[in-house]
Amino acid sequence: MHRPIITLRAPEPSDAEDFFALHSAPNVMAQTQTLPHFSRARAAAMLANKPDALQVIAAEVDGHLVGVCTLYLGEGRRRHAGDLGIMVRDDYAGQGIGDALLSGMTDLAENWLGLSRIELDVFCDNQVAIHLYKKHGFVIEGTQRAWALRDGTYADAYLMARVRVGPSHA
Amino acid sequence: MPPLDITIRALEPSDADDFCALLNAPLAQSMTAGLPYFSREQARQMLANPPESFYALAAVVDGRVVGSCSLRLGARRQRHLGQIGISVRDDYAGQGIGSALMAAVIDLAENWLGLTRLELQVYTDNARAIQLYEKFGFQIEGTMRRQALSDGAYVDAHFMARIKE
Repeated sequence: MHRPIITLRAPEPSDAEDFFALHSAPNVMAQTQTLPHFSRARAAAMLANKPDALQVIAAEVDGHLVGVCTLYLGEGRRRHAGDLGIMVRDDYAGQGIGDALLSGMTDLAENWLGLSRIELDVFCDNQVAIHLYKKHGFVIEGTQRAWALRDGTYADAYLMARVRVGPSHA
Repeated sequence: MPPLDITIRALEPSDADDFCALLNAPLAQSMTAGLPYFSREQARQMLANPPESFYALAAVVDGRVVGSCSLRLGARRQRHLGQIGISVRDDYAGQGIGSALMAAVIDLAENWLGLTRLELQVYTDNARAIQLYEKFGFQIEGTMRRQALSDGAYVDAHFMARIKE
Protein backbone atom coordinates (compact mmCIF):
# COMPACT_ATOMS: atom_id res chain seq x y z
CA MET A 1 0.00 0.00 0.00
CA HIS A 2 1.31 3.40 -0.98
CA ARG A 3 1.20 5.54 2.13
CA PRO A 4 1.44 9.23 1.26
CA ILE A 5 2.53 11.95 3.67
CA ILE A 6 -0.57 12.74 5.69
CA THR A 7 -0.88 15.86 7.80
CA LEU A 8 -3.58 15.91 10.45
CA ARG A 9 -4.79 19.41 11.33
CA ALA A 10 -7.88 21.49 11.97
CA PRO A 11 -10.03 22.32 8.95
CA GLU A 12 -10.02 26.00 7.95
CA PRO A 13 -12.42 28.18 5.92
CA SER A 14 -9.93 28.03 3.04
CA ASP A 15 -10.63 24.27 2.79
CA ALA A 16 -14.16 24.97 1.52
CA GLU A 17 -13.58 23.82 -2.08
CA ASP A 18 -11.88 20.59 -0.96
CA PHE A 19 -14.61 20.05 1.65
CA PHE A 20 -17.17 20.36 -1.13
CA ALA A 21 -15.24 17.87 -3.31
CA LEU A 22 -15.05 15.41 -0.40
CA HIS A 23 -18.81 15.46 0.25
CA SER A 24 -19.51 15.20 -3.49
CA ALA A 25 -17.45 12.03 -3.95
CA PRO A 26 -19.96 9.25 -4.76
CA ASN A 27 -18.76 6.64 -2.28
CA VAL A 28 -18.38 9.18 0.52
CA MET A 29 -21.91 10.41 -0.13
CA ALA A 30 -23.39 6.91 -0.22
CA GLN A 31 -21.66 5.60 2.88
CA THR A 32 -22.41 8.58 5.11
CA GLN A 33 -25.57 10.61 5.74
CA THR A 34 -24.84 13.08 2.96
CA LEU A 35 -27.47 13.85 0.33
CA PRO A 36 -26.65 14.14 -3.39
CA HIS A 37 -25.95 17.58 -4.87
CA PHE A 38 -24.03 18.94 -1.90
CA SER A 39 -23.49 22.68 -2.33
CA ARG A 40 -20.45 24.90 -2.01
CA ALA A 41 -22.49 27.25 0.14
CA ARG A 42 -23.21 24.44 2.57
CA ALA A 43 -19.53 23.43 2.65
CA ALA A 44 -18.51 27.00 3.51
CA ALA A 45 -21.26 27.33 6.13
CA MET A 46 -20.28 24.08 7.84
CA LEU A 47 -16.65 25.19 8.09
CA ALA A 48 -17.62 28.64 9.33
CA ASN A 49 -20.23 27.54 11.89
CA LYS A 50 -18.76 24.60 13.72
CA PRO A 51 -20.52 23.99 17.06
CA ASP A 52 -18.25 23.57 20.10
CA ALA A 53 -19.67 20.09 20.65
CA LEU A 54 -18.24 19.01 17.30
CA GLN A 55 -14.54 18.15 17.11
CA VAL A 56 -13.10 17.87 13.60
CA ILE A 57 -9.73 16.67 12.32
CA ALA A 58 -8.78 17.14 8.66
CA ALA A 59 -6.35 14.95 6.70
CA GLU A 60 -4.23 16.87 4.19
CA VAL A 61 -2.38 15.07 1.39
CA ASP A 62 -0.59 16.83 -1.50
CA GLY A 63 -1.76 20.17 -0.17
CA HIS A 64 -5.45 19.29 -0.19
CA LEU A 65 -7.99 18.25 2.43
CA VAL A 66 -8.96 14.74 1.32
CA GLY A 67 -10.45 13.33 4.49
CA VAL A 68 -12.11 14.36 7.75
CA CYS A 69 -12.95 12.74 11.04
CA THR A 70 -15.73 14.21 13.18
CA LEU A 71 -16.68 13.56 16.79
CA TYR A 72 -19.92 14.86 18.27
CA LEU A 73 -19.58 15.15 22.04
CA GLY A 74 -22.35 13.95 24.34
CA GLU A 75 -24.06 16.08 27.00
CA GLY A 76 -25.44 15.60 30.49
CA ARG A 77 -25.20 11.96 31.50
CA ARG A 78 -23.38 11.22 28.25
CA ARG A 79 -20.46 13.64 28.56
CA HIS A 80 -18.03 10.69 28.54
CA ALA A 81 -19.21 9.66 25.05
CA GLY A 82 -18.78 10.86 21.47
CA ASP A 83 -20.25 9.95 18.07
CA LEU A 84 -17.60 9.47 15.37
CA GLY A 85 -17.70 9.77 11.60
CA ILE A 86 -15.00 9.48 8.92
CA MET A 87 -14.85 10.48 5.28
CA VAL A 88 -11.99 9.75 2.89
CA ARG A 89 -12.35 10.96 -0.70
CA ASP A 90 -12.95 8.07 -3.11
CA ASP A 91 -9.72 8.56 -5.05
CA TYR A 92 -7.66 8.55 -1.85
CA ALA A 93 -9.08 5.33 -0.41
CA GLY A 94 -6.76 2.50 0.62
CA GLN A 95 -3.77 4.72 1.46
CA GLY A 96 -3.89 4.75 5.25
CA ILE A 97 -5.77 8.03 5.59
CA GLY A 98 -8.70 6.57 7.50
CA ASP A 99 -6.22 4.79 9.74
CA ALA A 100 -4.32 8.01 10.46
CA LEU A 101 -7.55 9.92 11.15
CA LEU A 102 -8.78 7.25 13.55
CA SER A 103 -5.53 7.25 15.47
CA GLY A 104 -5.67 11.04 15.70
CA MET A 105 -9.27 11.14 16.83
CA THR A 106 -9.08 8.35 19.42
CA ASP A 107 -6.04 10.15 20.87
CA LEU A 108 -7.93 13.46 20.99
CA ALA A 109 -11.05 11.86 22.43
CA GLU A 110 -9.43 9.76 25.14
CA ASN A 111 -6.20 11.54 26.06
CA TRP A 112 -7.34 15.14 25.78
CA LEU A 113 -11.14 15.14 26.16
CA GLY A 114 -11.34 12.28 28.67
CA LEU A 115 -13.97 10.30 26.80
CA SER A 116 -14.40 6.65 27.66
CA ARG A 117 -16.90 5.68 24.95
CA ILE A 118 -16.66 6.42 21.21
CA GLU A 119 -19.56 5.13 19.13
CA LEU A 120 -20.36 5.11 15.44
CA ASP A 121 -22.82 3.78 12.86
CA VAL A 122 -21.58 1.97 9.74
CA PHE A 123 -23.53 0.25 6.98
CA CYS A 124 -23.24 -3.52 7.44
CA ASP A 125 -21.83 -4.06 3.94
CA ASN A 126 -19.08 -1.43 4.30
CA GLN A 127 -16.42 -4.06 4.95
CA VAL A 128 -13.44 -1.75 4.46
CA ALA A 129 -14.67 0.63 7.14
CA ILE A 130 -15.70 -2.15 9.52
CA HIS A 131 -12.27 -3.73 9.24
CA LEU A 132 -10.59 -0.41 10.02
CA TYR A 133 -12.81 0.23 13.05
CA LYS A 134 -12.14 -3.26 14.42
CA LYS A 135 -8.41 -2.66 14.01
CA HIS A 136 -8.84 0.35 16.31
CA GLY A 137 -10.68 -1.57 19.01
CA PHE A 138 -14.27 -0.88 17.97
CA VAL A 139 -16.68 -3.75 18.64
CA ILE A 140 -20.03 -4.40 16.97
CA GLU A 141 -22.74 -3.88 19.62
CA GLY A 142 -25.70 -4.69 17.38
CA THR A 143 -27.47 -4.21 14.06
CA GLN A 144 -29.90 -1.39 13.38
CA ARG A 145 -32.32 -2.69 10.74
CA ALA A 146 -33.49 -0.41 7.94
CA TRP A 147 -31.45 2.34 9.53
CA ALA A 148 -31.03 4.82 6.67
CA LEU A 149 -31.90 5.22 3.03
CA ARG A 150 -29.12 4.58 0.52
CA ASP A 151 -29.70 4.53 -3.21
CA GLY A 152 -33.31 3.42 -2.91
CA THR A 153 -32.99 0.85 -0.12
CA TYR A 154 -33.28 1.15 3.65
CA ALA A 155 -29.93 -0.36 4.60
CA ASP A 156 -28.92 -1.97 7.89
CA ALA A 157 -26.10 -0.44 9.96
CA TYR A 158 -23.99 -1.78 12.78
CA LEU A 159 -23.62 0.25 15.92
CA MET A 160 -19.97 -0.10 16.96
CA ALA A 161 -18.17 1.30 19.97
CA ARG A 162 -14.75 1.56 21.53
CA VAL A 163 -14.96 1.62 25.31
CA ARG A 164 -11.97 2.50 27.52
CA VAL A 165 -11.86 3.27 31.20
CA GLY A 166 -11.32 7.02 31.62
CA PRO A 167 -7.94 8.67 32.30
CA SER A 168 -6.46 8.32 35.79
CA HIS A 169 -4.84 10.91 38.01
CA ALA A 170 -1.11 11.41 37.38
CA MET B 1 -57.87 -2.29 41.72
CA PRO B 2 -60.08 -0.80 38.96
CA PRO B 3 -58.25 0.30 35.79
CA LEU B 4 -57.33 3.95 35.65
CA ASP B 5 -59.24 6.40 33.49
CA ILE B 6 -56.41 7.63 31.30
CA THR B 7 -56.68 10.39 28.71
CA ILE B 8 -53.95 10.79 26.08
CA ARG B 9 -53.57 14.23 24.55
CA ALA B 10 -50.82 16.58 23.38
CA LEU B 11 -48.44 17.84 26.02
CA GLU B 12 -49.02 21.60 26.37
CA PRO B 13 -46.88 24.45 27.73
CA SER B 14 -49.40 24.77 30.59
CA ASP B 15 -48.42 21.25 31.69
CA ALA B 16 -44.96 22.49 32.71
CA ASP B 17 -45.43 22.06 36.47
CA ASP B 18 -46.79 18.51 36.21
CA PHE B 19 -44.10 17.67 33.64
CA CYS B 20 -41.43 18.91 36.01
CA ALA B 21 -42.82 16.82 38.90
CA LEU B 22 -42.91 13.78 36.62
CA LEU B 23 -39.31 14.05 35.50
CA ASN B 24 -38.02 14.84 38.99
CA ALA B 25 -39.59 11.73 40.52
CA PRO B 26 -36.51 9.66 41.43
CA LEU B 27 -37.14 6.58 39.31
CA ALA B 28 -38.43 8.55 36.34
CA GLN B 29 -35.37 10.78 36.53
CA SER B 30 -32.80 8.01 36.79
CA MET B 31 -34.49 5.74 34.25
CA THR B 32 -34.62 8.37 31.51
CA ALA B 33 -31.77 10.50 30.21
CA GLY B 34 -32.45 13.36 32.59
CA LEU B 35 -30.30 15.08 35.16
CA PRO B 36 -31.58 15.64 38.70
CA TYR B 37 -32.98 19.04 39.73
CA PHE B 38 -34.95 19.68 36.54
CA SER B 39 -36.45 23.12 37.04
CA ARG B 40 -39.95 24.38 36.33
CA GLU B 41 -38.42 27.07 34.14
CA GLN B 42 -36.54 24.45 32.11
CA ALA B 43 -39.80 22.52 31.75
CA ARG B 44 -41.60 25.67 30.60
CA GLN B 45 -38.87 26.47 28.03
CA MET B 46 -38.80 22.91 26.75
CA LEU B 47 -42.55 22.78 26.22
CA ALA B 48 -42.75 26.29 24.76
CA ASN B 49 -39.89 25.71 22.29
CA PRO B 50 -39.92 22.08 21.24
CA PRO B 51 -37.28 21.01 18.72
CA GLU B 52 -38.31 20.57 15.11
CA SER B 53 -40.16 17.42 14.09
CA PHE B 54 -40.93 16.62 17.69
CA TYR B 55 -44.23 15.40 19.12
CA ALA B 56 -45.03 15.08 22.81
CA LEU B 57 -48.01 13.29 24.31
CA ALA B 58 -49.36 13.50 27.85
CA ALA B 59 -51.16 10.81 29.86
CA VAL B 60 -53.67 12.50 32.16
CA VAL B 61 -55.24 10.89 35.24
CA ASP B 62 -57.46 12.87 37.63
CA GLY B 63 -56.55 16.09 35.86
CA ARG B 64 -52.80 15.67 36.25
CA VAL B 65 -50.15 14.72 33.71
CA VAL B 66 -48.60 11.58 35.17
CA GLY B 67 -46.89 10.21 32.09
CA SER B 68 -45.45 11.56 28.87
CA CYS B 69 -44.13 10.24 25.60
CA SER B 70 -42.01 11.94 22.98
CA LEU B 71 -41.49 11.14 19.32
CA ARG B 72 -38.58 12.73 17.48
CA LEU B 73 -38.58 12.30 13.71
CA GLY B 74 -35.45 11.52 11.74
CA ALA B 75 -34.25 13.84 8.99
CA ARG B 76 -32.74 13.57 5.52
CA ARG B 77 -31.94 9.94 4.86
CA GLN B 78 -33.75 8.89 8.05
CA ARG B 79 -37.13 10.47 7.48
CA HIS B 80 -38.74 7.03 7.85
CA LEU B 81 -37.82 6.71 11.49
CA GLY B 82 -38.76 8.12 14.87
CA GLN B 83 -37.14 7.98 18.29
CA ILE B 84 -39.40 7.36 21.25
CA GLY B 85 -38.99 8.23 24.92
CA ILE B 86 -41.47 7.50 27.71
CA SER B 87 -41.72 8.40 31.36
CA VAL B 88 -44.31 7.51 33.94
CA ARG B 89 -44.39 9.15 37.38
CA ASP B 90 -43.11 6.74 40.03
CA ASP B 91 -46.39 6.53 41.94
CA TYR B 92 -48.34 5.66 38.79
CA ALA B 93 -46.14 2.78 37.60
CA GLY B 94 -47.68 -0.56 36.70
CA GLN B 95 -51.18 0.77 35.97
CA GLY B 96 -51.30 0.76 32.18
CA ILE B 97 -50.05 4.27 31.53
CA GLY B 98 -46.98 3.13 29.63
CA SER B 99 -49.15 0.88 27.47
CA ALA B 100 -51.62 3.68 26.75
CA LEU B 101 -48.80 6.01 25.72
CA MET B 102 -47.10 3.37 23.55
CA ALA B 103 -50.31 2.53 21.74
CA ALA B 104 -50.94 6.21 21.05
CA VAL B 105 -47.45 7.08 19.86
CA ILE B 106 -47.23 4.01 17.61
CA ASP B 107 -50.58 4.90 16.07
CA LEU B 108 -49.41 8.48 15.45
CA ALA B 109 -46.07 7.34 14.05
CA GLU B 110 -47.22 4.54 11.76
CA ASN B 111 -50.77 5.40 10.81
CA TRP B 112 -50.49 9.15 10.44
CA LEU B 113 -46.81 9.95 9.89
CA GLY B 114 -45.99 6.87 7.82
CA LEU B 115 -42.90 5.94 9.82
CA THR B 116 -41.54 2.44 9.33
CA ARG B 117 -38.82 2.28 11.99
CA LEU B 118 -39.34 3.24 15.62
CA GLU B 119 -36.33 3.11 17.90
CA LEU B 120 -35.56 3.69 21.53
CA GLN B 121 -32.93 3.07 24.18
CA VAL B 122 -33.54 1.52 27.59
CA TYR B 123 -31.19 0.76 30.47
CA THR B 124 -30.52 -2.97 30.67
CA ASP B 125 -31.76 -3.14 34.29
CA ASN B 126 -35.14 -1.57 33.49
CA ALA B 127 -36.98 -4.88 33.18
CA ARG B 128 -40.45 -3.38 33.38
CA ALA B 129 -39.81 -1.02 30.45
CA ILE B 130 -38.14 -3.73 28.35
CA GLN B 131 -41.17 -5.93 28.87
CA LEU B 132 -43.50 -3.09 27.82
CA TYR B 133 -41.55 -2.44 24.64
CA GLU B 134 -41.41 -6.13 23.74
CA LYS B 135 -45.17 -6.32 24.24
CA PHE B 136 -45.44 -3.65 21.54
CA GLY B 137 -43.24 -5.48 19.07
CA PHE B 138 -39.89 -3.87 19.81
CA GLN B 139 -36.87 -6.15 19.57
CA ILE B 140 -33.49 -5.69 21.19
CA GLU B 141 -30.98 -4.95 18.42
CA GLY B 142 -27.95 -4.66 20.65
CA THR B 143 -26.42 -3.28 23.83
CA MET B 144 -24.44 -0.07 24.28
CA ARG B 145 -21.78 -0.55 26.94
CA ARG B 146 -21.13 2.31 29.36
CA GLN B 147 -23.89 4.24 27.65
CA ALA B 148 -24.70 6.75 30.42
CA LEU B 149 -23.80 7.82 33.94
CA SER B 150 -26.43 6.83 36.48
CA ASP B 151 -26.10 7.48 40.21
CA GLY B 152 -22.31 7.26 40.17
CA ALA B 153 -21.82 4.32 37.81
CA TYR B 154 -21.70 3.91 34.04
CA VAL B 155 -24.56 1.69 32.93
CA ASP B 156 -25.38 -0.22 29.77
CA ALA B 157 -28.44 0.35 27.59
CA HIS B 158 -30.17 -1.80 24.98
CA PHE B 159 -31.19 -0.26 21.71
CA MET B 160 -34.51 -1.58 20.49
CA ALA B 161 -36.57 -1.11 17.37
CA ARG B 162 -39.95 -1.91 15.87
CA ILE B 163 -39.95 -2.23 12.08
CA LYS B 164 -43.12 -1.94 10.02
CA GLU B 165 -42.58 -4.18 7.00
